[in-house]
Amino acid sequence: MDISQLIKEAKKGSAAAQKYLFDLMAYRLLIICRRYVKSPQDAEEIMLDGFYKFFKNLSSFTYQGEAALFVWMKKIMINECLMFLRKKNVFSIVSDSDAEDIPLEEEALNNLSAAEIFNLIIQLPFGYRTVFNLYEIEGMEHKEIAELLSISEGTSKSQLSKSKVLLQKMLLKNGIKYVKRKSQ
Amino acid sequence: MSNENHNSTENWRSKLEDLDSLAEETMFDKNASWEKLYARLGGKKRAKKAIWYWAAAACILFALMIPVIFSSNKIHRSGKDAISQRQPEIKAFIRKMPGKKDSIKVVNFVLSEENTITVGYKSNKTGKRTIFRKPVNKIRLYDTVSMQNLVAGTVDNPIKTVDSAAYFAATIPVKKKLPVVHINELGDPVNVPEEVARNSDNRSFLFLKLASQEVYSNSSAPATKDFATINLKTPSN
Repeated sequence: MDISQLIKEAKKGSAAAQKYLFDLMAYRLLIICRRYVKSPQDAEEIMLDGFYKFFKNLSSFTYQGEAALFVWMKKIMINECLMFLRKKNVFSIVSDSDAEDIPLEEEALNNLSAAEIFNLIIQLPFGYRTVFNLYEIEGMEHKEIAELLSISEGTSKSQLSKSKVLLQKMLLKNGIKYVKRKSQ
Repeated sequence: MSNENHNSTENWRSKLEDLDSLAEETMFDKNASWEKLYARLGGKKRAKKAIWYWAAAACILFALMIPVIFSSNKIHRSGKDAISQRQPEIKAFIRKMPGKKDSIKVVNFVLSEENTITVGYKSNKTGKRTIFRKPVNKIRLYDTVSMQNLVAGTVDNPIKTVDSAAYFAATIPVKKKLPVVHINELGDPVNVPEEVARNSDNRSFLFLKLASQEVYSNSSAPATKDFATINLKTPSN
């Protein structure tokens, strides 16, 4: 069935259409949640909360293609993850120290598989991981991140810098020899 | 920041975006998750339905209460009318009581079924509210004229005036009247023969009085006798 048709049916409250949409997107969205929240159980709960909000607000959604639908869903999931992290007060303990801006070793990451990159990211501490996800993957600016997480812009920058250093260390530890550290 | 550059190769990012399964994710049960979500969505619908049911029940209850509310207002109004109509009479009645000389305003008065009058009045001077309660039958002679007017005035009052004697006569069940029987209607007492009267042992005896005034009795004979005695009484004339 066409996705636009599915959306129409889901708007009418069809459980079958809703299940079809859930089956179609659940895995991909769960992986996004896992990038922010390490615990699989918490990530699953967040994903369900996100789907619940999606179905509840479906009437206000205008279908503009599969990509737009996924972007919208992804936004909902990221917001849910950040809400979850805020509730746990995880951003209050991150340091505010200035840090040197370290460029990300794109080449090294490009040579890794998606699963390997995912495993590296989820090993980062939650503060580093959140800022890294928002900046490097979602493409947000530090100002936006600072507003979103209720932290200062400097904290966001320092968290990103530290996350990159840690990533490089992890890459080295895993024997990836072509990663060049800036200091060397 | 000068180094905020998102234009470098998107290769690893797109790889990450397209990631739709992980080895460990095989543990994620899609159907179980869907069941949880569906229960949440369905549960909310049931709660909304319940709210509507409660709202409908409240509307029905309100509709049923409308006649009661209006009727109670009517009763209240008629009571107020009675007070305003009989205000001078009640005032006159209260002023007759010793120490009640200042001007007053009667707020309420009720004549209860126990024949007690309760008058609530407010002093115009001090603003003090007083409730006066008195049994009707204990009202002194000089009050009676006013009381009669008062009682007549409470016809419009929701609480009915009741004459206690008539009330009790109507409510207490009447005792069943038994027919009066005079002693002389019982007839002459039977003359028990002397022998029978004297035979006072505990044995039963048959005692017959015939129309001819002949009396037969099986009065028990003494234990020593093994035969019954029949006494015959002949009329005296």
